[in-house]
Amino acid sequence: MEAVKAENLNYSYPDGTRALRDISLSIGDGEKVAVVGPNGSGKSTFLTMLNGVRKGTGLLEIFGHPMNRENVKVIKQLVGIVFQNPDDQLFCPTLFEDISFGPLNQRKAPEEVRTLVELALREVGLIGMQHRSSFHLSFGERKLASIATVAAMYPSLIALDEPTSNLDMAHRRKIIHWVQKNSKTIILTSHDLDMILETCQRVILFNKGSIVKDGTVQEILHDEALLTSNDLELPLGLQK
Amino acid sequence: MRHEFFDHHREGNSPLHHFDPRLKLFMMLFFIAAVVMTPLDKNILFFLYLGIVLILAFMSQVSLFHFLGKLLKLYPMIFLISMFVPFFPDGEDISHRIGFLSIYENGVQKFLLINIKAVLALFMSILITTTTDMMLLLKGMEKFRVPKLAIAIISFMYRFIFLLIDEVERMMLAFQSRYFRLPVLERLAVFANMIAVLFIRTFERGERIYLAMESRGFRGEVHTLTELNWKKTDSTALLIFLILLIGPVIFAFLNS
Ligand SMILES: Nc1ncnc2c1ncn2[C@@H]1O[C@H](COP(=O)(O)OP(=O)(O)OP(=O)(O)O)[C@@H](O)[C@H]1O
Ligand SMILES: [Mg+2]
Repeated sequence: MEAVKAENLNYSYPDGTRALRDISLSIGDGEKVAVVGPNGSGKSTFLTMLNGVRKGTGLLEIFGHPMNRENVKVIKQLVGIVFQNPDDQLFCPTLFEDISFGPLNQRKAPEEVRTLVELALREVGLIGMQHRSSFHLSFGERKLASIATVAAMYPSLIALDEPTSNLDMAHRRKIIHWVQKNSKTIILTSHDLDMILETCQRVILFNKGSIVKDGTVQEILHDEALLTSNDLELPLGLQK
Repeated sequence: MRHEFFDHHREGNSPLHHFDPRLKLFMMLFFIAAVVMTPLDKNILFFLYLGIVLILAFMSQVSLFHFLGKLLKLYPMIFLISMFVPFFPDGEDISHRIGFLSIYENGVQKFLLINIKAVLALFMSILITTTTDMMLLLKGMEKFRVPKLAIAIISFMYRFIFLLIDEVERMMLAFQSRYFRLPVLERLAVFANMIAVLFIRTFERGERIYLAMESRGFRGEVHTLTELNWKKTDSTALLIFLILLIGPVIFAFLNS
């Protein structure tokens, strides 16, 4: 079964900006897909549609559940989104509260919640920080923490919006490893094409709200002419 | 950036730091109630209250100047609220004329009473909040059956006040680095714009946070893992506190 199936998906912001135009795609279960494109091309908008946070027109199915009012609850359990700005994701006084927020809403038992928090922190390499306040963390640490908040819920589909922006080498590496060893479906957006080379098999190129090309990493990230015409550059790792 | 004033919790190892937050909340509420209800003719009791606060301050091992500094920042508010009281007669009052103003004796007494009570209550609140982690205070409140939604609102406030301060500071910085000597009127216009932008940003952030909460399964109920353990020392402290406070109060009232 496909994790995501979209047909002629459109979305306009309330102020009239047409952020997505006729998006049609399908993403299989377990695939790791990168959405790339210049600033303002609709990547973040697309990600937030995946769990019904924004509702557009057209067909959208998540693991076979058509997106509608009745299914939204189920879909939100299946899809975890890590937003671009970690300050929107961390809203509790301490990391422990933030990470336990999801599992507690899933009505897990207290002992299990503690284990899940522990595990999520270990996965992103923030072990021992559970009692820190999020406003005392650096940007990179907050980014990792917001990934942990979603990881602790074990969603079937994880959507990451610019997971490596503003991160130093070590933190970026941690995220790359985390994506590589994760067996769930992952959809991420990024301007860090080198990271995509290491983590994804498939790339979808957006521009001005439409899909320009959908193909393998080989087909898109190695095609200098295509990238340049969409305001992108060949990944550093492929430049001679 | 500048967070110290709100982010006032001081790590510490003093007995006061280790008291159960429920005990501290109770002490604070009880103390404030006692102070507020003390009438003028029992003014001897205020020395007792001051003594209790000072003992607690001493126990906290935080410098008295730290508390006084905070008190000084908050005191002007009380002064502003109460400063006109001496100029209004209270019942049959004796007035004194100073220039074109008349001051009333009962009014002055009332003014002093309000100020003493407010300062004592503030001192106690500062003491408790300085020595207790915000998270623990919230948990204590939860145990006191404060509605969970109210606690959630306070915890959001605590979380996002810093973000708001940072946002204001960034905007001020951006403003100051681009403008250089602007006429007052134009500067006011800029500030008005800033406030509007801040309002919209806050509003939009609120929406994004709600979406983030919803994405993590929030359905309007707040679930938390609460773990507080009431120790023997807490019971002892509670007992001492009650005896210290209630004994003299009863005595004062019996003597009248
Ligand atoms: N809240 C909003 N209201 C109105 N328009 C918006 C809003 N958010 C985004 N847009 C517009 O929608 C379009 C797509 O924005 P989106 O955030 O999806 O881009 P993006 O591809 O994620 O860009 P970036 O690489 O900068 O993150 C842009 O033209 C943007 O101006
Ligand atoms: Mg974006």
